[in-house]
Amino acid sequence: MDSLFQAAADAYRNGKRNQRQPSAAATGRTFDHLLSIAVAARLSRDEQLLGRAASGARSRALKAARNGQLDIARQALSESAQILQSGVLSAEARLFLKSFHEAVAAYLDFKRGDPDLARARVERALAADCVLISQYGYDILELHRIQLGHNLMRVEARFGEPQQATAIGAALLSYTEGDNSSWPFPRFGDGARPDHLPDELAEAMVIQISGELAILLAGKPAEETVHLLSVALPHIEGIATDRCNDHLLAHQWLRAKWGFARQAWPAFFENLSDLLRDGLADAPLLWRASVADLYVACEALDTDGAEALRREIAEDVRAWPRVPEPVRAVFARSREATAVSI
Amino acid sequence: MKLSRYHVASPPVLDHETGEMQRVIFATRSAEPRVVSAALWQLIESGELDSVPMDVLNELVDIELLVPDDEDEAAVILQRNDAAARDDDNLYLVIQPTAWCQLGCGYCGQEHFQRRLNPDHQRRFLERARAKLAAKPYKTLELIWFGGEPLVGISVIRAMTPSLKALAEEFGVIYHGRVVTNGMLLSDALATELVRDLGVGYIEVTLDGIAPYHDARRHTKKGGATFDQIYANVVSLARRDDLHVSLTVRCNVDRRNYEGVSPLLRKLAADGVQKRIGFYVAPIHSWGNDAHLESLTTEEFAEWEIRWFVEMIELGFNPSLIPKRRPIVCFAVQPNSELVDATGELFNCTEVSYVPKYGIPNQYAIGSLKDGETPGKRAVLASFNERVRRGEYACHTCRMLPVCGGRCPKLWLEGITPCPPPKFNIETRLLLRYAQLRLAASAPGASAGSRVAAAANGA
Repeated sequence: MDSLFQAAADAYRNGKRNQRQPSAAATGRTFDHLLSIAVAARLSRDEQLLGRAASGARSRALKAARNGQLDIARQALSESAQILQSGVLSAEARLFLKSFHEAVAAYLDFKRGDPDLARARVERALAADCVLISQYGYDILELHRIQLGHNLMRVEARFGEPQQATAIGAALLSYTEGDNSSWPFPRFGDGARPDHLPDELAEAMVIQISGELAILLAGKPAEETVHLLSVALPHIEGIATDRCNDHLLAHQWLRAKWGFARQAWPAFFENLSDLLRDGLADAPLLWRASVADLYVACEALDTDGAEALRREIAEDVRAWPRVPEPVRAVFARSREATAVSI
Repeated sequence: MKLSRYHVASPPVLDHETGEMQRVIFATRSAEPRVVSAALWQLIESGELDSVPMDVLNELVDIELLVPDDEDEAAVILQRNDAAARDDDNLYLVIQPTAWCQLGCGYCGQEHFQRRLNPDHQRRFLERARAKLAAKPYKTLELIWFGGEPLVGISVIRAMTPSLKALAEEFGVIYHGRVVTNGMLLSDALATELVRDLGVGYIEVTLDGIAPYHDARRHTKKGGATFDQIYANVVSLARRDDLHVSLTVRCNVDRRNYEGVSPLLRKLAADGVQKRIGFYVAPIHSWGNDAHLESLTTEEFAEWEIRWFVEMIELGFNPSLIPKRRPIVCFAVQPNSELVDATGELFNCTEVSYVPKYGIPNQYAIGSLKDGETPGKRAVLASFNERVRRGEYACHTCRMLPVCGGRCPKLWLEGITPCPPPKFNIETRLLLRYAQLRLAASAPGASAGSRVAAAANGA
């Protein structure tokens, strides 16, 4: 046990020294590039330019909404809507723009605290994606469809439906790994070909979905975590799909979290060590959520080594940028509030 | 897609390195300049977009130089401006701690008297600030100490700052203090206190040229000279490495002192502070008085401004040549911003308090600390965008609206056209910036200043 803890501590220290930068932006560029190729092959120049103008408006809307500036976001989104109504757009182009427009509009509704409207808009975007994928051949939008599913997962998580959210998350993991039958929204499954996703994008999406699970489960009591996470047991055991082993980081995190929740400490420390060792570049959120669990474990261990590591982590966390509140809150809790024992 | 009406194209200029005629295009909707070949610009301008490469078109869409055909651009800009004012996450508050100023500047419209913001008014203002911070999730609290001469009211600044900073901390917002001062009292000790203890991160001081020009207009109420003292304070502060503060010198100019700008620039450079300060020249305008009658015409000012820019570049200053997007014209249109004067009256403009012409009670007052805001009064200036929308002012059709915002709601209301100099010299500014960047990239050893001057004059 001591050696496993020490290995985890060493992995954390090694990982935090690794200065590699997160690679999510590169993944975004890959998606944008593939999407632009698909669009260039199908839409007229005018439609492409209008689409680009709409994309600019949506980007401004998203940025403002993330910043809590909902009036600016609404204004930008109204400019996107205006383009959507343009008479020069073909049905295909309009559908394409509508999918992305509704997705951003849903985010605004999400930020405004209206889950019903947010769900309805995401479903409209999903419906548009189905047609675009199955009838117009936009295979790359499979990633957008999964992203929309992930957005619905966030809606459920934020508005008090953690069980529903984890169920969606586990299903999306399986679907992204190529299991068609796992798609959690059967009404919007036309043309499903997740196995056509480029490996790099599938990997990024699996990490993103796992990250959402990590936020959802951060700081939850052990019993509740076990209850919620049991829906992902096939992934934890590595038998959900043929590709579970391809997505190592996400599955290491799942196994570590499962070990943490069940207080199966050898499994926790072992998987944690593997996850933390190479630093946060490939999965920043999973890395930080895991450090939060390690921090809690240190509190419970109550040894000199654990206390030293706990203090070190507490100091390090002060410099962490933009950590989701549920993860950050773990560090803010007092030792007395921790209900974990070893 | 169509070419946005919100653009400026410089005259064609020969790039000696490529041998191509180039134009600098400025999309004012995004405040983004781009260099394009004159031939390409001709295609864009004439709407022959099919002949323009797709990657260029994409770039032009991104900077909003090309916009959807059916878009009402003026409506969009004004809607964006409205949204920006409503959604601003900076709470902008102005305090005039005193109604007194030691100076008797001829162009100042204020009538000064001995009054400081009293403790009861201080308490009420803090209550109002608290209510505003509680009503909306702000990110910053920007507090401007304005005059009169605010440093004459330093006791008020000392009394209020701890409470203001505590408020900011309580609501999790960042506190930014700024002072607009005549600089007379800006000693080393006071500057240290302002920055270290009183949360001031920006100081703006006015110098109207070198001594003969400055002292003829910015003298004490008894006519005494002020330049030497202010200048010494400015240079001393600019040279300090131990204080983290932005220092800007503003030079107010009309027909009587415009020739004093260049000597002032040279003097500041000779004292080695040109890279440590901001510097800008501002045209004198009406302050509820006839000061604007002595002003250079805007066209004249614009021409002189280019010369000053060239000189600043030569001397190592870093002038701001390209205007930025300005969705919020001023704090008049921000629903929660306000100014309190030393008597406890509230305003949404810095140019109206203590100005006798505006009557008793002041016609622009939006209320008082004692009675709160008077319904409808804020809207007199706050409705500016709506007036532009209705076509009451020329801004409605002006290509510079996105980077100007309309300049000054109060002056428009008073029938004075406040269009700023960039409206009249933006093409040359663009060329100057282009030359500046090209020269920066050119071989070392060249006399950058003289070549910039040549490039600008050639433009």
